[in-house]
Amino acid sequence: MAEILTYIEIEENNVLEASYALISGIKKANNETVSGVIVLHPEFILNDEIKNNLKKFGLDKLYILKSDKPFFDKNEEPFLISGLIKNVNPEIFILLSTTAGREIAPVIASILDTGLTADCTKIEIEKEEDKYKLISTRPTFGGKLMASIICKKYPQMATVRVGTFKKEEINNETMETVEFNFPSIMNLKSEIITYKKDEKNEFINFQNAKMVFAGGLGLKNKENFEKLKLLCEKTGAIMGATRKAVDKGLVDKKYQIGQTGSSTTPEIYVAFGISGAIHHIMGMENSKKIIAINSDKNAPIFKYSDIGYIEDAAKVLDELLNSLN
Amino acid sequence: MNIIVCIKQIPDTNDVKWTKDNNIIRDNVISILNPYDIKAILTAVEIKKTVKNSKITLLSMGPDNTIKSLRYGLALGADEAILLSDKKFSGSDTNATSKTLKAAIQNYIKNFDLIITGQFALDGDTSQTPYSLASRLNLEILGYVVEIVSVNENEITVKQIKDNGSYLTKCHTPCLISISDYKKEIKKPSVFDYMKAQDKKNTILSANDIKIDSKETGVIGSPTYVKRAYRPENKRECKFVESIFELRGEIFNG
Repeated sequence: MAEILTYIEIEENNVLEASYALISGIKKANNETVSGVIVLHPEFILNDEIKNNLKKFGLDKLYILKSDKPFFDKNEEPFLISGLIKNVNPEIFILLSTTAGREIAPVIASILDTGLTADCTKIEIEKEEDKYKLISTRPTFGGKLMASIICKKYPQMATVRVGTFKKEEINNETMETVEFNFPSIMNLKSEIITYKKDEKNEFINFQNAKMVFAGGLGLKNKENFEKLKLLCEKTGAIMGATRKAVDKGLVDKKYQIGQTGSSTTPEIYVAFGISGAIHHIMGMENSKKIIAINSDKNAPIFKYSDIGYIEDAAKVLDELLNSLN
Repeated sequence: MNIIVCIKQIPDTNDVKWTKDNNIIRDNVISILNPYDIKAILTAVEIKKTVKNSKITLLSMGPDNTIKSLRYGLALGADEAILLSDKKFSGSDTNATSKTLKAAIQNYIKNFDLIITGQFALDGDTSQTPYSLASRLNLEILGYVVEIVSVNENEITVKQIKDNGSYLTKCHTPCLISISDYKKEIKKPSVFDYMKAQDKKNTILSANDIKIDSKETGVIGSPTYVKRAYRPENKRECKFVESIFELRGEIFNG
């Protein structure tokens, strides 16, 4: 029977929240058989809680593969996963467009000689007779153009941006588990000498954020970003930033929202001193309510906002902090 | 050490203009060399300073005017340029592109120790070609490289920064590395650099020259195709508030 396979990404001892969101999003939109592949590494324990969560978020079938490499070493995974795909022949295979997903997916696609669409922000699956057809939509030309892409070969593959789907409980009654034992491969020529879970590059979880306060170059300096962080701490918002602010070194890269950063869809998104480069817009345009503060009344950000306030963002930040004290 | 640097000339995405029907106007769009690829060339030039008797070959696939970007790369310090240009290549997706590059490397360039690419191209932004190319050549790839820590003829050690942390990784050559650092200053080549570049070899090759079956390349060889392209819609209308009190209300009270 045809199925839609997803890649379940793990980080240390957990499954990424975004992987649950991917599973439940695909299940909810299509109500077809959704399977998932997880590659177990020596330090990872697949406990009942994780299995129950996978079931809860809509997984019908779990494929377990084993690697003897540590979780951060993804060099072997494409070979194991393409082995699985040759065995179970899913029509569609979807991964997250995290760095891991973006590194694994193209290697698998080459091994299987199929097509792959990168970093999609929309996934549609149509059923034609017994076959699934995947329509993957992604921003291109620096976000100025959306392209809906079809794949002529199987499996039809795509990576999906974190934040595209929301985690929702589906509560499956059963979940089948299948273990495969592919031999661990070959002599890799590369060797990871050290791995550091670097605080600076940790992933910010924008996905469940209710409120996001993001800063751009209009905040001018690091001190103002510290103030923005303080405002976020006091109000329970999550801090975000534009690529320009990150490139200028005003704030860590993990806060970056946009084309090459994270996506977010909070209830309320407030842009402090953000001009509205399309690169950034792509990461936040699906927020429910967008509020922009900018001293330039012609800043493009206002075109994408529900509420605008023409004022120096740093000054507004001070006033908001004062009013909370 | 023989180094191949794969580069792509792209339309300047800051310069996109539209027709009335929301189609991108592709004529007269300014072309630039993908910024990540400039870093890839500069990385190769740095390696050449360390490893004696190195040679840097630039490889690109694209229309004839890509020669402009290749000349720029030669002026930055590469030794030779190869352009794959043939109508049969046009419309290639990343699958077909990687097969075409592989054919050129295997059947024409032949000897290499290291391939360097940019991590992303700013137009398509798929980041797939380096991985597909490495996989097709049975090479290991070190992605998201921000720094070359050490290098000699047989081995390269790099620093990589990914979502979940930073890595120090070493790899025996031959291998492929892709560069994701785009922040370092880019030095513009001088007129003298360009003059020197004029004497360097550049070659234009067709599908026949690199012995690729035309079924494997271009639109025919691409498993993916664009069904529909459209301009993202913007449905919001901005209401301006006049005071910090109103603003606060909008943020915190709904």
